[in-house]
Amino acid sequence: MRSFLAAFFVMLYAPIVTLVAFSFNDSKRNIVWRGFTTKYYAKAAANESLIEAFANSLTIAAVNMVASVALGVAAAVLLWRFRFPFRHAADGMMSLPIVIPEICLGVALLVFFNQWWPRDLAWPLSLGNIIIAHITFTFPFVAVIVRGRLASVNRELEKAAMDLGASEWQAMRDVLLPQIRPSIIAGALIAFTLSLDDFVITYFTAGPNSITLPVKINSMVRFSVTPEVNAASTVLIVITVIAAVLAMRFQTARRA
Amino acid sequence: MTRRALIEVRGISKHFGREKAVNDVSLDIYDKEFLVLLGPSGCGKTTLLRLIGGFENPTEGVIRMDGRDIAALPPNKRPVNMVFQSYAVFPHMNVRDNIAYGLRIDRVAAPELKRRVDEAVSLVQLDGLETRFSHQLSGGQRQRVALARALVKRPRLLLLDEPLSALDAKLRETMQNELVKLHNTVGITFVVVTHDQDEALSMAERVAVMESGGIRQLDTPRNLYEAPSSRFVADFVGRMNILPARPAPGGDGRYAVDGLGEIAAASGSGAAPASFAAIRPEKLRIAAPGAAPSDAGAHSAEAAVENVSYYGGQTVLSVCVAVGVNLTVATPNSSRNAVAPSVGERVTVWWRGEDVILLGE
Amino acid sequence: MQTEPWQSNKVVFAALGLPALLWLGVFFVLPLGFIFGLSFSDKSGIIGHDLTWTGGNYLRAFEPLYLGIFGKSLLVALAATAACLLVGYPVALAVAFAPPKIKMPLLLAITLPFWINILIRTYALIAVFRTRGFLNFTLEWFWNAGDSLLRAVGLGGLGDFAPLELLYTNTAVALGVAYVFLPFMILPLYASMERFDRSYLEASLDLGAGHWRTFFKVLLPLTMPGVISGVMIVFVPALGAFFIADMLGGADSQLIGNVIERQFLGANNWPFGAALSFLLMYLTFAAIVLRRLFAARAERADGGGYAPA
Repeated sequence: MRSFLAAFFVMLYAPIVTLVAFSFNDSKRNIVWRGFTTKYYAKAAANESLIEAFANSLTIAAVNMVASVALGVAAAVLLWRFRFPFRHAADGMMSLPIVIPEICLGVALLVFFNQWWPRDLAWPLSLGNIIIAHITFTFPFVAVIVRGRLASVNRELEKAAMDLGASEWQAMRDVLLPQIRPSIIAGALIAFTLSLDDFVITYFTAGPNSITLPVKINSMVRFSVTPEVNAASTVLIVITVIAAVLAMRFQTARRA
Repeated sequence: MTRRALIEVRGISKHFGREKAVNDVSLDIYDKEFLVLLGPSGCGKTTLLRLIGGFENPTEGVIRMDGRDIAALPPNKRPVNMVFQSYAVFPHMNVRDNIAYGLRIDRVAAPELKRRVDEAVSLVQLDGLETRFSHQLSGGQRQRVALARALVKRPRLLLLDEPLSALDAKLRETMQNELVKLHNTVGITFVVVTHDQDEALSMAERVAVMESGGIRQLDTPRNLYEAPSSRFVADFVGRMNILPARPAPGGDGRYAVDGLGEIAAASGSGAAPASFAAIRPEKLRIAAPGAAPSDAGAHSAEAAVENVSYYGGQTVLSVCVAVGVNLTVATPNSSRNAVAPSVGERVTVWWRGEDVILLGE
Repeated sequence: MQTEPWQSNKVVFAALGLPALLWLGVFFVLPLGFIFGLSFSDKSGIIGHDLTWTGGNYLRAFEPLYLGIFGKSLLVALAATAACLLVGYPVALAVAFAPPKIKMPLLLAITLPFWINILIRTYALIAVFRTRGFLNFTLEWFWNAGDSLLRAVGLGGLGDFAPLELLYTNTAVALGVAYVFLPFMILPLYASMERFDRSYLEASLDLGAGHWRTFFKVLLPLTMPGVISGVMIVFVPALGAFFIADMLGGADSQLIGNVIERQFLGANNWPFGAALSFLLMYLTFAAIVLRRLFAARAERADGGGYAPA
């Protein structure tokens, strides 16, 4: 069993590890190790359209993170706190963006934006449609994560705060939010990662002037496979893995 | 003596869908009194408490405080504070910050805030624990935090929802005494919800017994126990032998009771016409068969002992006085050498006529 | 304490609920409604569409040309799902029965690649599959080792190693899909095994059943909900993973996703693409319903005793 697991992990990680390794390989042919170099990173950094795509990705991910957290936390608290008609339907609709195939949401938003979204907007408004698309599929994830935490929050805490004179808003700020803070941070990191990582939905909503890093990597791969792509990929891998590991830390953090 | 009513509840109802949690309840809560709402689970006592606290909006009726209608005021605008069943001690604040929270919301100036928090801390004897967090406190200490946090606001009325249910039996007894002492010290009206009758009788000045959304009897603990007004109250508060009663053929207010024979309606007991006769187990005495009752006006019946349970302080017997009619008798073990009858033994049970209570349906 | 009715605080209820509701309404339901209408529309002119409530777009999906593509697409997705299950089941079992101390690190190691961009993970496979890639290097090494061995014992050699042409084939697409979606398979399997009471296995072995019998009669039936979940979670997205076919597949490697993508970004037949993506969506819903049914059945079958943690 142990050797089986070991073989499995080798199989799982070998492609990724080699991809990262060859971003440092001093060989264009990508197969035989010729010595350590960072020249492909320098080359990638000098590639203006690549840097632009990277900046776009970070901008989109940051805006998406803030909006997704606001929407996701509000929705999670709503479903936790209230009972109302069609609660189950609302709950189900919230999880739909998570379960339907990405390509379906992608083409739906493509058609929608093609009809309604103005073209030729100035940066960063030109990223608006991608941001909207990302918020649509990331905020339900935030809601799911925050609800996991809310499930163990004592409902009487907020009532107690209001009994002591706090308004709804004060009770939420002073008592509820501190209770769910770790899950909000985890949700924010996951929203950031999902946005930064997304290819399919962005592929359908991105215009020629609003390319993101994954979409750019895709077109570079089509053109030619070079260590430069490996370098760009490695940067993306490092950022998302760090964010994901942090997110999981916060998600499983014990309450103080 | 008529006391001034702090809270007047008039015809209040709370319906959850088709369920009537509280149904047309009227009640006066006197200034500075210790009132207990007692009842089985689901009787509406907690809902009534939450209505007074402002956590539920009444479906119907008014609640006045000092004559002013407060039904529309949210909880944060009422001079009423609550100790929650879970205590709801904020887990991310230490003891001191928990107690100071309400004063900070009210923007009480720092020196006064410090003085009042210190006062509250020593009132509930939490000195030295100010920097602890909820998870570092015992159940009893958490309750003290909840009490101090509410009292520091100097409310007119303190509501306590099952304040002792989370504590173990020994601690519960101590806290009962402390709550009463605290009530005397602070001079604030206390309204406590509980399902535990011992708790209710030992702490309260008055007890309201509730059942299915209504108040069945509101009285002093003593009256509740000795003069219950209904079969439900008689049965719910303490242990009670309840036997069906029929008007005796002779009339003149006498009743025929299975196993007890004919009894006269004693003064101040129950409604007429009565359907049940009731007597507390400790008001029944056991004697050797055929022994004469030791005081005049006593009644007796021959019985066979069916079961004997020894509880240390008292021994509880189940005796059969007629076919299908059993009485529970509690005899104090007032001497170390007290000998209880054994199962199967014939005995005489006797009682005073005035201890029998007649009850309606 | 219970949830409160929404009427108890309408302002808070609206403040919390309206933003999300409006967002989903405008940017989710409306776009889906749009292409739902589109899937029943006729193309008019180069970019126009008329909603004629035609079923033609759906019928077209059943034309021989597309049936062939879909057949192949289903085969590739099925093969990938089967590969996921074959690898994932023992892995999930090994993790579920691992000592508690290393369980979390193992799970983390399995989920970590999930966070790495799906495109990059696919791209990483090119180096594995190509003619001068790792798979062929490994095979060549074994081949040469066997060759030397056979020569040494005097049985003649195996001849020269002929590298497998893997990249740009349906096999590469299926393996790629399996590789990329593997965490999706392992996690539900693990979840169903985690709450599996080990004493059932001991009871079975104690009652005289062999290991294989215990596996087929006890372990597999009781972890079936996890298997179903895993299969559904892998199979449907696999059909849509157009970029994997694009990157690893050849000219005739097409998944349903590729056909959809082409309708929108190449062939410009939006109504047909809309109909196809709705077929994919119906498949998703069917999978969800099927999963619920299996879960409900499993719960009923549990009846007494077997209480999931």
